[in-house]
Amino acid sequence: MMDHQPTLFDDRRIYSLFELTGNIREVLQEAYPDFYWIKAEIAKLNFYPKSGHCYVDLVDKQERNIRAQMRATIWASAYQMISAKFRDQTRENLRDGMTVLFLASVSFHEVYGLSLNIVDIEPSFTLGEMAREKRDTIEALKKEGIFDLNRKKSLPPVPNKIAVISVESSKGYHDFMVTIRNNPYGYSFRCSLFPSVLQGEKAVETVIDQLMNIARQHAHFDVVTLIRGGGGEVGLSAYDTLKLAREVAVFPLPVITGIGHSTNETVVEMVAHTNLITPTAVASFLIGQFKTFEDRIDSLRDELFRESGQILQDSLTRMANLSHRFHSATLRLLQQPYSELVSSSEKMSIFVRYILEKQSHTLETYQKKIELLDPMNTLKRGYSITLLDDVPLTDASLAGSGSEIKTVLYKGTLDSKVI
Amino acid sequence: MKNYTIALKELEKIVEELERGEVSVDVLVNKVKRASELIRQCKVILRDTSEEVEKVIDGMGGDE
Repeated sequence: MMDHQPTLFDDRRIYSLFELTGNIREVLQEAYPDFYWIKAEIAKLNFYPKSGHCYVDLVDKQERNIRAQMRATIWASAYQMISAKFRDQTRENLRDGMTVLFLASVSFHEVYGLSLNIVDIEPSFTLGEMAREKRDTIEALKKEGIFDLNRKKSLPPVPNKIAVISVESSKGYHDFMVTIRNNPYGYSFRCSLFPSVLQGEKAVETVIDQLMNIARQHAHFDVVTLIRGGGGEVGLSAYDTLKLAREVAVFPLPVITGIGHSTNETVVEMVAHTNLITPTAVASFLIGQFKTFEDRIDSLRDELFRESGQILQDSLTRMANLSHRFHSATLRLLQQPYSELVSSSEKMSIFVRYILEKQSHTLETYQKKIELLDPMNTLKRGYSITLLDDVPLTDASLAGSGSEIKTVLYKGTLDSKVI
Repeated sequence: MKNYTIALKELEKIVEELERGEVSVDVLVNKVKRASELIRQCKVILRDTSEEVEKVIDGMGGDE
């Protein structure tokens, strides 16, 4: 200021704005000649693709109150290097709400005022901040007692009404739908898409919006799948935020994640009912649930068939056995009296035969005896019988002279007169 | 009577009596008639049941 010729007005020394700002610039340059490592939160990051420059609103908060605020600039030349390095190491884009450690100089411009000129950023600092946020999220969920809530929900045995949170044009959604539709068992699934941004800073709000949307009609769904794929691995810290992780943890339906990345498991994946690597794996998991259920039903049906068949078979065998016993017992009962009858009749006939034989023998004896007594046999030998008045004469004196006697010979008779 | 278990019990009792030879000829015909009737009933129930079971099981497999 001393270099210029002073201007006076009513005896008062006056400076032009240019003189003042120029002086401020010089003072500041003198006071802050170096580059300094500064940590601050990015309140708003404005990137202008055309120029490639990036303008950042920085804040320093204490308990939600802003205690310092400043603008910063990252010129196009620095921004390209810085953002690439940052993305490589943190798998995140520089974005609003992030706490960063950067190397900057204090700059003052007569027209644009005070700002910081950022020339470098240390990604590992932010990585540490992100890890801390993740730890805080896990701790908060556990403290609230909701960390395991979704994991403990039971999956319906046949989960076929599926609310899909994804991006319609994404590879992940396509893979999921193809796997579901082409399942080899012909199971039918009803999938409803709830489109959402799935990475970056907008993911938290849009995923939560869609979760709320599904929650309002949760009776129509069995399960929620959160699937992402083909979108690169940048911007997944949304899944470590307490806000989103809490909504997933307390969600009324089981949430199955297939976010598809190779980095550490995010908190949302930890609290989800089931976490699988890819959307295809999520689809296969759901089909697997169906298959398991069907196999169980099939084996129960087989068991039922086997068991009922066995009972019937046993009953038939028992019945056949009883029937057989019944017949033989009945026959035996009938045969016994009959055979008793038979045997007594047999005994009887033997006895009768004996008696008859004996009788006939006796008869024969008699017959022989009778035969011996037959006079014809005597006559044959030349003897004869003399009859007097047809009575056999055994005393000659009984036949007086003149008596007419009859002599019976073996053949014929002689009539004679006693002389 | 349409109860397999009761019929079976009665049948078993009659058959055991017959097997022990406790049945006199005078009542034999009645016992035999009764047993035959019970066997017929049991077989009818068994046949109906297995037909029913097969129908049910065939019905389950039918929608595959």
